[in-house]
This record gives sequence, C-alpha cells and structure tokens, in this order.
Amino acid sequence: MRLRNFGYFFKSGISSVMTNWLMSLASVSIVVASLFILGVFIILGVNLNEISGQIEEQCQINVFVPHNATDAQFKAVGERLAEIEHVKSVKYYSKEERYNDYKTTQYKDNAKAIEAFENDNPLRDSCVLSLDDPANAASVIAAAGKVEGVEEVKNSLELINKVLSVTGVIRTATIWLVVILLIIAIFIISNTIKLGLFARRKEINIMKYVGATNWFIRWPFIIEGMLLGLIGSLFSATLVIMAYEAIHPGMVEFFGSIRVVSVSGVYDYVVWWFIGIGVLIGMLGSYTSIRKYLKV
Amino acid sequence: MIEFINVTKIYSDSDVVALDDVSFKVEKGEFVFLVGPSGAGKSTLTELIIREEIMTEGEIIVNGMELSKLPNKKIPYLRRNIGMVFQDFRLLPGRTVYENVAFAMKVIGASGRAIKRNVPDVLSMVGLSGKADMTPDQLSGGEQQRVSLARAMVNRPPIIIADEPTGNLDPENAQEIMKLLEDINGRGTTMIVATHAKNFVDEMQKRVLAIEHGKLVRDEEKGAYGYEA
Repeated sequence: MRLRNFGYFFKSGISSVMTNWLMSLASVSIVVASLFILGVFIILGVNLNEISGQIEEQCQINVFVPHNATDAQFKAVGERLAEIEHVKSVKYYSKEERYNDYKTTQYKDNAKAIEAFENDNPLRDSCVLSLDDPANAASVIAAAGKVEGVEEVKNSLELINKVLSVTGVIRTATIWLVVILLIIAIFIISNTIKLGLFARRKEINIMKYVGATNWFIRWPFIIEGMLLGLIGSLFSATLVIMAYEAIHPGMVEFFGSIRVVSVSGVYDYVVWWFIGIGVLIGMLGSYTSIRKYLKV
Repeated sequence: MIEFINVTKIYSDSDVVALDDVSFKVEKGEFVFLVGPSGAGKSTLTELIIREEIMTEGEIIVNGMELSKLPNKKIPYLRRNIGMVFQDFRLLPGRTVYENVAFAMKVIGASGRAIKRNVPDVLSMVGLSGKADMTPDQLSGGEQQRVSLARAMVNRPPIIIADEPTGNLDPENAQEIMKLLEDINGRGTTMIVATHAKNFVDEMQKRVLAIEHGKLVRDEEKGAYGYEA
C-alpha cells in the first residue's frame, strides 16, 4: 500500500461513514453495547480473580491435635505433617497463642470467658499448613486427616471453590453473550459496508475498467469498517472506565479489607483490548461484505 | 497487439455459444471496426479482451499477455493497457470533468504531479479545457463522451476499445467523436470500435471485422458496414 494512496483510502472511508450516517450509527451502537457488556465482565472477572486469589493466599489448613495432647505429641504431629507432599511449611499455633489472640478478637466482649479460660484453657493446639499451590489443598487435607495424633482438619477450601465456580459460570455466560453480540456487530457492520458498496457501485465499476487493483478497491471499505469498530471501541472504553470510576469507591467500602482492582488496573485491559476487538470486528464485517458483494 | 486464436466462448449458465472458433490478429496502431447485428457476439469479444469474461477454448494474446494463463490478480494490469469507452459514458455524476479524468489516474496509483500534468493535456486534446470544472450533468452528450474518451486515454494505454461510442449521440456529435478516435489512432493507439453506425464505417474505409451468430464472417481491409442501417 503506497503512502499517497492511503490518503485517498482514508478520505473515501470517512466519506462513506458520513454518507451512511444512520447505518454507521447503528454499527457504532452495537459495537458499544457488546464491548460495554464485555467491559462489565472484565471488571467483574478481574475483581473476582483478585478476591479469590486473596482468599486462596489466605487458604489456611488448620490441623488440630486433641485438647490433652502434650507439647511433645504436638511437635511430633507437626513433623509428620511437614512430610506430606505439597506442604511448604508448618507453623505451630499453640493453645496459649490462640487464647491470647482470641482475647482481642472472639472473646473481646466476653469478660467471663476471658476470666474463666485464664487458668483452664479449653482450646487446642494446631498446626497451620501452607501449601506450594492452593490447588493441592484437597489431597493435603485428606493426607493430614490420616496422620497419627490428628483430631480434626479445618479449611476454607469450600468457600474458594464456591467463589471459583460462580466466577466460572459468569465467565462462560458472559463470553457467550459477548460472542453473540460481536457476531451481530459484524453482521450490522457488514450491512453498513454493503450499503457503501451499493452507493459506489458505479465508481467501483469504473475503477475495475481502468485497472485499479483489487486491494485498491477494497481498502476504503476495510478502513470504513475499521473506523466504525474503532469509534465504537473508544466510546465503550470511555463508558466502562467512567462507570467503574463511579462505582469503585462504593466497592472499596463494601469489601473493606479485601482489595478490589483499581481503576487504572483495568484501564489497559479495557482500552487496548477494546480497540483491538473493535478494529478486528470492523475489518471482519467489511471483509465479509466485500467477499460477498464486491466481485474483485 | 491483439490476437484471437480459435476462440470459442460458451456461457456455462445458458449454453449459449457467443463466439465460435474466432481467429484474427490486430496489429499495433490499427483501426478496426467491429460490426454485426445486435447479439452477434461483439460485446462478448470486447469482454474477452479485458478478461471480464474468460474464453471456453482457444487463446487470446493482448499486448504479449496470454489471457488463458493470466492469474486473476494480474487482470488490473491487463486493463491498464486498454482504455474503455462506452455508449453510456459511465461518468461519475457528482464529480467535475477534471476529477472524472483524474480518477482514472488516481486509482492506478499515479502521483499528484503526474495527474496535474496529464489531465489538462488530455482535456485540451478532446477540446474540453474550458469545461474542466463542470459536472457531467452540465454537459451535452457529445461532451460527456469526450470526457470518457479523455479518461480512457489519460493513462496512455496502447489500446482503446470503444463499444458503440456514438450510439447515444446526434450525428454532429457522433462525427466529432469518430474524428477524435481517428486522431488518437493517428498517434499510434490501436483502436477497436464496435458500432452500428453504417455511415462512418462506409465513409472511413478502415478494416472491418463482421461477426454473426458468434462467427467471424468477414475481415476486410478498407471494408464497408455491409448491413442495412
């Protein structure tokens, strides 16, 4: 593509967008709608990832020994636990430590309990296991349960699984929705381009007779499609960023200690992905039309 | 310059034999009238030359290119050798005379400088220098045909094919167009003119190819139209 031709392609493309402004508007709107939904999912998705990641990081497997176990027994259990595959480290958490922690948390408003347990601690010693990979939690839990001297194994795996499965369902549903919308977008863009082809059929005919190459004839329409996609993607990216900026403070407050993804954290995703997808579906839309109606 | 070797064209969708074993050769710089009744195969013949259609059998050689072996990608380059003039002019209505002619250069990637140099030249050659800024609807039929002739020759093709160039024109304008075609031919451009205009064919004494029912029935130097007008 020669540079001096590019100016001509670009001018033709823009003039086509303006001439068919109503169809152009329809094309841009459907691109905005599909990408906006994609944007909502992206924000939801990155936040669910972030939050479930935090829960996974906090995935603690607590292995309790019986109340009456001696320190030596406790130690021995810990050593056995450390030998389980995928266990990265074992932290001893004695009943005294637990009691001291509980004084400021669970028992904070329960002076009676604090007083009663001061000399007769009913809590159990436990080992906190951290894993090389949270995905191995299930096998570690099973193995820990069989270790001699272990009374009970507690974990937050169930919660993580629930969060992950909800994420999965939402992800699948959104991807399908977006795919369908993008196909509709391609279809509408392709129809817009078809109108442009129809309006210029005389010109195209003459171009063919005087020896314009096929790509010379195609480029203005490809550019028209790309422009429609680009305009749509810029609009929707702006909308998504603005929407997230608006709800972000509320989310931060709602989730409290759990971090949510910052606006700048989704910015790159949204802007560059949107531009890429928008331009791509614009090209696909015009290309399908060109293939079908422009016999060059 | 143009050679047909045993060319047969059968339209596959209708089984119509449009051209039947046609052979002839047109040398560089010749002026050839293509005559025959409507539907005899004249249009098919010109469409084959510009590879709008492809022959069923035989070979066509245009300016050294064997059309049976020409890949689709190369068709535009074949057409740059051939200027086309149509009965219905085929000008772009919203554009000026200048733009219509410049368009033909622009779409083959000519530079702005070349366009500015060539377009005024050909416009003065066809006598339209003063009307460069007018649009086709402000021109007479004869003037419009001169614009289309200017467009056909602006890229200096070695061949010009005119399909019924005077079909829509009054005798006076038709005369002017024929005169122009003869002038352009005089500068070395090979000229193929498909026509029903008996008076010009008889008067101009050029080579005549007559086609009937898809067959080449006559090929005469300094021929006559040969049909009732």
